[in-house]
Amino acid sequence: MYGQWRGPLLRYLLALGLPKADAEDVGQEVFLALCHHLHRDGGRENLRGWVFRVGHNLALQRRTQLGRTVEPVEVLDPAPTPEELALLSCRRERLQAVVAALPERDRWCLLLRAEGLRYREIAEVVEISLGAVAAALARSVGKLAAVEGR
Amino acid sequence: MKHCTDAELMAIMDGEGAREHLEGCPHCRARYAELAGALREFSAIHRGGRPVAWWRYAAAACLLVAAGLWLMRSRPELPNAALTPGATRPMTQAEVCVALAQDDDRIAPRAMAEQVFAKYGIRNPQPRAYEVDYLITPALGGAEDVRNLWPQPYGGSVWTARVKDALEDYLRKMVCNGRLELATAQEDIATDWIAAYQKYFRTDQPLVEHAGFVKDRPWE
Repeated sequence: MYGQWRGPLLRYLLALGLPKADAEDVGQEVFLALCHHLHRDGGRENLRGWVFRVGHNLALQRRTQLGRTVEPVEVLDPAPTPEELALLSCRRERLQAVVAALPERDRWCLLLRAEGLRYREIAEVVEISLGAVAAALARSVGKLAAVEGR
Repeated sequence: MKHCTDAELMAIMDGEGAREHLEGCPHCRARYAELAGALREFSAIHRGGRPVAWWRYAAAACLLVAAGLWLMRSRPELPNAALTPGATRPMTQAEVCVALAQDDDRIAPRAMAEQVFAKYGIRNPQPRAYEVDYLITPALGGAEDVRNLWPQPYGGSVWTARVKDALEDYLRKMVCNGRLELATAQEDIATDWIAAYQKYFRTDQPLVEHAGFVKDRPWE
């Protein structure tokens, strides 16, 4: 579980705007909490949703403690070649600008979906209805498509 | 005719909604493909652009992990998610399952294949060394689109094009037997086909019988 979900969770926490050190702390807290949860014979249904829900809530608390809204940090992948980067950078920047400008709840839904969560899981993490998740994602898709010129 | 709401379409994507209307409504199929395609593409860009960099900036204790992730990122048996996020046609489950045999044997047009090699920086590709592979196979509704193609080598790893062909065949059977949603199959194979293979065949390594599996033709 740790190996499978740690990367996606950290990516989500970073995308929420936590500084790297804080995202790592929160990630550790989540998996520690998961250990306690399992040790206490807590429910084992949909543990991925559980991990993201706890991570999401801890991240919001951490942001409040930091006393400011931190803008998501753009971290470029060092693996692509310079040619690939040149091709991708404009598009990535456009998409990131759209994502950054989304209402916060819409952004959460989009980022959670990008990490592979199902709609029901997203609704549980963000604590909104399935219909609200669908509406948020549809709005985001519309804005992404508009910036892509589709 | 009353059409599906976005919420209903998204429920169908997760295998929770009723598909009957979708089967007979081109409008809803198109909207379904638009939503699923846009979300999949964003997911590929989002996932492809961040995790390695995260480790790059992590503490020295994570160096080995970072190296492992970098190697995984550059493994030739997986496509570059930014160049090849996958693309689908607006097809229903039923349409996929009655698709013509040509979908099972579709090869990428030569000009498009050359474009793919160029995108991946491969000059003068060796004949029969690669399969210009549809990430989402046409037999599962994959599109003839450069975003859905990548040069998959036959050698260099146990995770060969033949092993992926076996997975594609198996996923289509599952979809057509009603044991797997088409959108799930498309998403799983586009996200990480090796992880999908391990998940569906319940194995860490390719099965012996799949090493010689032949379906698609090599690049010549």
